[in-house]
Amino acid sequence: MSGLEAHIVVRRDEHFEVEVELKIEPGQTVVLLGPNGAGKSTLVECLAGIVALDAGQIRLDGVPLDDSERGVFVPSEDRHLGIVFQDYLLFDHLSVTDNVSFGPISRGVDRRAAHRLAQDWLEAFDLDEMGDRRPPELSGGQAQRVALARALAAEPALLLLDEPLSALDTTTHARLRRMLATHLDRCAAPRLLITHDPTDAFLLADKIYVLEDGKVTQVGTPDEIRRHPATSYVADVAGTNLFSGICDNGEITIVGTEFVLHAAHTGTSGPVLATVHPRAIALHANEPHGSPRNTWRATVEAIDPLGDITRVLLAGPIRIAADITPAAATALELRVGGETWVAVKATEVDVSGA
Amino acid sequence: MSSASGRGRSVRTRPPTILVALAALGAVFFLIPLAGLLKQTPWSDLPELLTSDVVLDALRLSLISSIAAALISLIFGVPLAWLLARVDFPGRRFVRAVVTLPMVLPPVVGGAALLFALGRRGLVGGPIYDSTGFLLPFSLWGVIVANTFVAMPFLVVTVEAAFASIDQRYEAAAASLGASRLTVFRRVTLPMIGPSLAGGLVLTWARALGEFGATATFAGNLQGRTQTLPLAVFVGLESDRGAAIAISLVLVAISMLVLVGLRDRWWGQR
Repeated sequence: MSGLEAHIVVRRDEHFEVEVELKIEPGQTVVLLGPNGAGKSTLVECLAGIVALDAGQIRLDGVPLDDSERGVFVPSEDRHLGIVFQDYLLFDHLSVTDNVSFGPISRGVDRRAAHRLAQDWLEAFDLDEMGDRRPPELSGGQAQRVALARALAAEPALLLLDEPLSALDTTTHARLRRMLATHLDRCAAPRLLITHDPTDAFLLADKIYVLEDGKVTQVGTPDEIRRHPATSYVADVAGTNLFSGICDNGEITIVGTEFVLHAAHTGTSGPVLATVHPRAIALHANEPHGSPRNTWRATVEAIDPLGDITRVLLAGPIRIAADITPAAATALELRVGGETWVAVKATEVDVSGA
Repeated sequence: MSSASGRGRSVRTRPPTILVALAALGAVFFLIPLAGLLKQTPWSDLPELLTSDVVLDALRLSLISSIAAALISLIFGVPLAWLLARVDFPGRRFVRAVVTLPMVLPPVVGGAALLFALGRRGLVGGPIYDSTGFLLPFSLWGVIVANTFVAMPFLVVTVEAAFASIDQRYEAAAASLGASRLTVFRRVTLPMIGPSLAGGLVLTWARALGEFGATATFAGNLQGRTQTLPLAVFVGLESDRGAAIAISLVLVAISMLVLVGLRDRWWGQR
């Protein structure tokens, strides 16, 4: 069996235990999405060989890396991992080339061959001019590519990306996410990306694992998760409506449709990502009048009661999810297949560079 | 100083007079001995004094013994510092206390302790002498041992602090790339503490160069064999004041050079 199979059980203290079943196939990107304190970093430490499991096992390409029952524990240096850390952790005292060749040299490749290998990776990442520089001289985007090149040059059997985008401001964030999306495909190994950012998760994942309070609460493709969130956390962050569109003077034409969303403040024009929080969407029985800039008629596709809120999935010019109170759902007499009016204020449409 | 507010005249607060007065006295206290030394210097005889046998012998012995002590401290002190900073072993606090003891111990006491341990009838020195005839005290090796004993703690303390303060995730990153623990130490940890290591090494060397008490007690005061610069100054004050002053000037000059060299790394750029 190739790829990663893990059943991870770690007790941090008597109140907090992480228990996760995880499966990643070669060439697949799994995103582990969860709020801070959910146990994401514990999971990374287990996979990286910094923390040993209390129970369960980790198998990579069929080889046990950690097995509490059989007493197996492979140390970090023998796990064949590639890790991209949150703040990259490039070695400032080494040149870019020496950073990238660090893995091959550590694994016994002779210095000349390792440097040639590093050169190839740098070319692949458009960094061929940067080989002699030191990491502090690089821009954020270059540093990210060097970190990725360094991880991939080690020919990892598993690529771990630990919050690789979270230290960035919003403009750089979007650009580096695009870059990451293109470059991830160069790695044929299973890929695990850890993040608390739902947008990153939706755009990069083949499959999302949602981690809350040490447990996986939902597994699915981005689309499945967006459409049928299993918990209120998922509904809250992962249920965000996300559209790519072309922005022109506050008018965003959603890609693949002729639908136009109006946004209040947009300094940007060109390709953008528009997000609308489900809670920011109002439903009306009749056409609303007054302030909302965006109103349209939609068909109710699904109604999911999630405790305090009811998620209503709406088909129409664009597919969008709305969270309303159960009382409102009753008052509106919503039913699957029925129709309703949708209203979104322009100020509730968030726009960021795509 | 910048202006207190963003507009108008810059307002400077006058420092309290009493603080300025005490600070000035403190500074003068350090300046006066230096002035005294320069005042007594027989400038015209200086070239001759500096090239006398006593001075040249002492200079040679001082350089050899202090550099050797610094190198020995480097070889044993860095692993020791690493162990103290990173490995949680039973008795770690005791080991740390013992290693740093020479920093507070009067050097004469250190020299005496060395004599009792490594002397002809000492705990370790006795068996060595009986089986090989090798005698550590009153030899150049004795000077080096005394210097190392007194100076190495400075390296250990400096480097241990550096080991403890670096971000260990860099080492985890190196390990994840397949580097063994020794490779991580050599290629990542050591370069990361480089500046502290250099600073600690210079401090250690300077301490060894100035070492007097332990050397005099353990290695004696034999011109050409164990008499280093500080010992030669001490003897010169009794017999040849001019030579004593000349050697003192040499030591002042070396110390100033070290301070200037350390300025950026050590005291921070101001």
